[in-house]
Amino acid sequence: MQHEALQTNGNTSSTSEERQARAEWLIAELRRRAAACDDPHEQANLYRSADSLLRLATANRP
Amino acid sequence: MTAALVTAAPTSVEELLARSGPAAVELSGAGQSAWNGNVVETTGPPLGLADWDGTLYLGRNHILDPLRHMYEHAGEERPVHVLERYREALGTLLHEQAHFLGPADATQEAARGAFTRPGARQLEEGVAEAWAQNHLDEYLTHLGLDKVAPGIKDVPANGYYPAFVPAVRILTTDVEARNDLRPGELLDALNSQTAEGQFPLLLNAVYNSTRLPSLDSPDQAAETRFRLETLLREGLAQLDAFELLPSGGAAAHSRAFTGFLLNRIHTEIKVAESHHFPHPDACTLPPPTPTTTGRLVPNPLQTALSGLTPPTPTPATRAAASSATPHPQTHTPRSHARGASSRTSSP
Repeated sequence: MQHEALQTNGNTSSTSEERQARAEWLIAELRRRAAACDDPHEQANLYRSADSLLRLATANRP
Repeated sequence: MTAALVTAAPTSVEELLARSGPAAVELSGAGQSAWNGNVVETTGPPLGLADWDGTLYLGRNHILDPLRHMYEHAGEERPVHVLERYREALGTLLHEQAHFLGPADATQEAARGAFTRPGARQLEEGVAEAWAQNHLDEYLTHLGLDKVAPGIKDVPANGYYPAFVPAVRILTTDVEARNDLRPGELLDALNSQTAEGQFPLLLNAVYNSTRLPSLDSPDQAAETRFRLETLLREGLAQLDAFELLPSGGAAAHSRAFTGFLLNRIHTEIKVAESHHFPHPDACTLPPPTPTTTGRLVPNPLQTALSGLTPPTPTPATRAAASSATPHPQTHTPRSHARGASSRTSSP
């Protein structure tokens, strides 16, 4: 596992637009994976993560 | 009597939802809930969402239909997999209600702004889920659901957010131990805050667990706190990378990564504390300790007297020694006693 590379200038230095774009991409990707998932718990887990990012994306909107 | 006992248990999903917010406030001890009482039923995503305007979104398939089924079969025995569905739905309900909790003077506007800062989402989701898992059985009892669905407290629940929950548990457990707090005390306190107050509370707990508050000047304190906050925010923000993994892998990576993050934080604290207890300059090392060989080298007096016969006491000195020490074998130190004995036996 590549945990040694703890970034010290990663997310804090990205712009809100970049974070918003990343959040929206992740929401779409998580939902795509959830829709294709056979395991009900994993599916719900993916949807929950997408919901959290939706909450973030909503917070970022002006 | 507690409020739970004097208030009748909900008998329908509508009553349950109406009670779900106040019950979360009572259970947590938070100052208020930002929930506006509205629930929107969704047929697709989101599955569960505490929106910033105070509206609660709940999915039909995963949340509301299982809860309707639960009340339709109230009091009946049900298979484990059905009870698990109920429990997961209720766990999500408590999790979403936890998002609305905050101090009496908290605003959703401030919470919303703080939630967009790095690490805040990961912290809040991890706290809400870990807290909901810890207190779900109390919530079920509080709402009389152990009577509606007998056995619901006995089935396992996996929970969600495996990328964040292990991290939050490891961090809060470490800080609780370093502050002599009871297990879960910091987690409970964080859950009673909105995103606005969570990071300051966590940062205070980390900083106050060190010797620095009594040592740092205000400027030093500000600098150390800034460095710790940066480490925490950037570390927690990187947990995002594990969200796409299956639950088991996400949890394992979260645990390993948080161990690494904790090491970084502890190192940062040690460095800051070491500024108050400077080590000796490496360029002015103390003189070396004499070696065994060095101690065996005779001093000049020993060298000068080597080879000479030890002096024999004269009669005058023997008499003086005898009168001054009547029982030399009993009262003199062991080495002197041996010498005295040999001397008294000589002619």
